[in-house]
Amino acid sequence: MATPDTVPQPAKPARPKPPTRPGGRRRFLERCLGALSAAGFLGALYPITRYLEPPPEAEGASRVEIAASDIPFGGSKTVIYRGRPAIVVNGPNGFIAFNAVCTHLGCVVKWVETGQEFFCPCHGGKFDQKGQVTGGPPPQPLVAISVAQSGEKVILGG
Amino acid sequence: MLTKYVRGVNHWLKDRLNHSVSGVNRWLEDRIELSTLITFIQTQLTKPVPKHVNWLFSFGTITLLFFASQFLTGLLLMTYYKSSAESAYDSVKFVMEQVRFGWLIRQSHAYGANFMIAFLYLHAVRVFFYGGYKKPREITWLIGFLLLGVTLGFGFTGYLLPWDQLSYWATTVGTEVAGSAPVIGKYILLTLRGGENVTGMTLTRFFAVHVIVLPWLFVFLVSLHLVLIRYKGISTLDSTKGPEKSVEDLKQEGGKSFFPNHVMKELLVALLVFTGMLIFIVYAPLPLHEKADPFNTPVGVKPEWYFLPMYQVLKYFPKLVGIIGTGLVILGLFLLPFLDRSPERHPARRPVATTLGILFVCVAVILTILGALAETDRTMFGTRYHFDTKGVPHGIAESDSAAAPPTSTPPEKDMKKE
Repeated sequence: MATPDTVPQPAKPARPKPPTRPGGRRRFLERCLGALSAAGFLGALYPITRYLEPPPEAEGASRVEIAASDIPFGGSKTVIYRGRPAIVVNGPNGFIAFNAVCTHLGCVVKWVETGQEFFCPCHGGKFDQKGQVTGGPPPQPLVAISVAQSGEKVILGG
Repeated sequence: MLTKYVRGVNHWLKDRLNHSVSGVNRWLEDRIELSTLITFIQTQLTKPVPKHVNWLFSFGTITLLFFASQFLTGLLLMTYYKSSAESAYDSVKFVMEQVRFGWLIRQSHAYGANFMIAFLYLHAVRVFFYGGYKKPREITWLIGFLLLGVTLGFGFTGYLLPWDQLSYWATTVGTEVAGSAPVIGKYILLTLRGGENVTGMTLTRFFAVHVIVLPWLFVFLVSLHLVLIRYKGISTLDSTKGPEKSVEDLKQEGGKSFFPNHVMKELLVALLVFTGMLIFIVYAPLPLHEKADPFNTPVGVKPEWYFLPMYQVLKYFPKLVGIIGTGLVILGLFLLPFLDRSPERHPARRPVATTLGILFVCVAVILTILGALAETDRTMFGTRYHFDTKGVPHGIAESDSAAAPPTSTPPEKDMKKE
């Protein structure tokens, strides 16, 4: 409420502008925005890495049943066990089973009936009926898989 | 004693680091003239944008960011996707249900397509109203228009890939529309489908186009588009009669440098938009419908919203008239810089173009709404209406809709159930 008899006041000086420093509010907000974007971008990496992991279903069965009649005496059969190839042999000492992946560079070994041994076609690795290395470059024996016969069924693992 | 030792090690390390950095710099300088490259990038980053450039000018960048996101999520989806009629649907279902975060990747891709096209439309509308297509930027507009075509092609081919009921029948209808073009229609139809019907043949060719042909085309065109934008700069609102503003002119008028000022604006919009998409993904995930059944057409098959205006307009005219008419409108938009000869850019100084533009956008929006309402039943103000194919409502008694067989439920309702 201005009264006419008041002495005219000198105009208020304009409020001084805050000094614009190089590291001012804008700079701060820009940094926040940058940090937020970087966080968002990095946050996206987590679901992407998880997405690329093998899905839970791909692990494969840990118990495999085969009909004994599928493997004639002296013959062999390759099946998938725990998601990897396994070789089952109907040998003179009954059924034996190994992880069929050669310990050298990952090829799948074959059962050679004439030589009574496992042979890897990639680099000529050889393993005996116990899985021990008998020739070629493989550094380790084949990994044995427990095998049991129950009537007409051969059971791997379980 | 210890502090002295640590300081000494610190000093030595810094010295070694500086030394090796300058060594790497020199090595690179001798081979790729690093300093020239850095100067070039700096010039580009500090180039001022005209004073009137505001938030609306971020739509192009947002579209590009969505393309990058589509590229990444698409690549990830391809690691599980199987492109055959027998297994496509199951592989998508597998991604969504079994793979860790598969739902997120698939939804990001499906929603990303919609967002990308939405921002591309907004970008085109923005360029129209700001007169950005005028001399000397006609080629940028032409390439932008081709990019729109490529993007819609992405949408059309990608929509079929999940091989569910809606995608199958939307593709059947869509290819049928393309096939009713005069003279070459039949040829187009057969080439698109790889036979008389939409089959596994169609799926594999759509897949090839979606993941190889269109991405390469897009990258090629978008590179040209960006180079032209950087080369000519963002247009001012002045008449094209005068000379183009130089960098100094723009600076004097108060134009801020592209980086960080404009980039920060774009970054903020990008963060908001991507967060918005995440909210949609979580609260309104897009459904995977039932597996495609070539013998059972669901009720109310429609293309995606971005094709709806074109699809709806065809219903009001005889087939050939509609196709040729829409074709001419599209051609007119493509050739816009050569049809609109006015030298003015400011929307207020070219009232005819601005009015026509507003009308065009309104018609497109109305057609989209009519298209969305067509062939659905809805309750409005307490009365139940059936919207016919042309989007005209007809009042129906409640009992009628209740008696209707469940197969006639509109697809919108199916989506909500899932």
